Amino acid sequence: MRKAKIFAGAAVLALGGSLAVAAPAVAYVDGGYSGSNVRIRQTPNTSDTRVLGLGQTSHTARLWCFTPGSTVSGDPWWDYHTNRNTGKVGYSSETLLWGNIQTEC
Amino acid sequence: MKQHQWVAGLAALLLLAGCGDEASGDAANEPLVPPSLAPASALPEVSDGAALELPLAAYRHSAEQATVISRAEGLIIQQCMRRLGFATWQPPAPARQGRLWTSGLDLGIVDMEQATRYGYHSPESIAADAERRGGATRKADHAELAALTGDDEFGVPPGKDVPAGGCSGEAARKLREGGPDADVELDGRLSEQAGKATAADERVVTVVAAWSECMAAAGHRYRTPAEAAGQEWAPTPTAAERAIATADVRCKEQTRLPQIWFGVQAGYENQLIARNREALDEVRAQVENEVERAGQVLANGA
Repeated sequence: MRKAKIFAGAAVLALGGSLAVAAPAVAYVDGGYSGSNVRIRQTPNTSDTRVLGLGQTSHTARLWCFTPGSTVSGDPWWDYHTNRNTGKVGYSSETLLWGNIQTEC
Repeated sequence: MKQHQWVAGLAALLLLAGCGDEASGDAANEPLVPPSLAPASALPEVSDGAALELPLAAYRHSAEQATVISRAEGLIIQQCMRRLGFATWQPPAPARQGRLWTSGLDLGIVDMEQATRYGYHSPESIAADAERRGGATRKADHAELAALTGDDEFGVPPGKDVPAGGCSGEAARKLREGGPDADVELDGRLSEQAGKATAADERVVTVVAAWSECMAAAGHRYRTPAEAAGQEWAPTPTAAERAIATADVRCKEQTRLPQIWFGVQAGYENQLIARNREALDEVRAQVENEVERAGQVLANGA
């Protein structure tokens, strides 16, 4: 089901005569990098040597979705994202990003 | 504002210490010269997010500028998505700058409270993980994702003429219209170059060795802070992890490793800025153009 439809349908729900507001689906989250020279990889795995670009602490990142990958500092989650400064798109470990995306790839 | 004051202060400090690393012309490819450094006791304290204050950060968007650009891109993306058939698509509200939980430098954490509570884990990641285990997630709509990013990994919306890079790519291009064709990856490459030079700098190597000795005295054997932070930790911080992280920060405080690291890296970045002034000026002009274009989009609509 398309998120747009979820958004339209879920904005206001009438439940038993009372109104309940549901959280809208989020298409993306704008965040950033919490480390320097963060590798943006083709797949969510530190062993993937295909590094597509770098993220820096003062770069911003558009987080599209999360997915499991190789564990970094105890964190198994990676975010598929765009570095908005460089336009590079790929995966980085969530431990090196800020911004909370709850959409699963 | 805070960033510029900090950088200006640091630049003055380095100049007082005799750091005049001006270089030009063909000097761009010469090896970097170890920058002069004020005595460790005179170097500014280094806290979470210190990397945001490094000289090269002046060639990127400020947090306020990023918010303006995010709002403008949201409008452009919305128009693009509607064109592609996602009639009710809405952009999210721009995020506020997250609190950085490390220095942002390759030396990692510097805050004792972070070490005590979370060890080497990102507090935000722990919270996100808890939300996911609580069922807060949703599955991405791949057709929408393909339209937003242009990535065919998510499929191709049937019968739609998706722009290169998707609607997000279209928005980025529109905001760069009229600006210089700057090398958008230059600042990142220079940061990486400065980081490598810093890690190899004799003063940094010496202070990292002192940190390692301090850690060994506390019962933890690591050659570098990255080695301590980067091992395979449990999904949530354990008492053992927190103990190591706490010793790590204490040893950094004792050796003044963060201050020396930051000062040296700032010196190398200043050299690289001097050697790449013209190209970096183009990067800055592009940033300013984007912010101006974003303001126009917000004022007039995309």
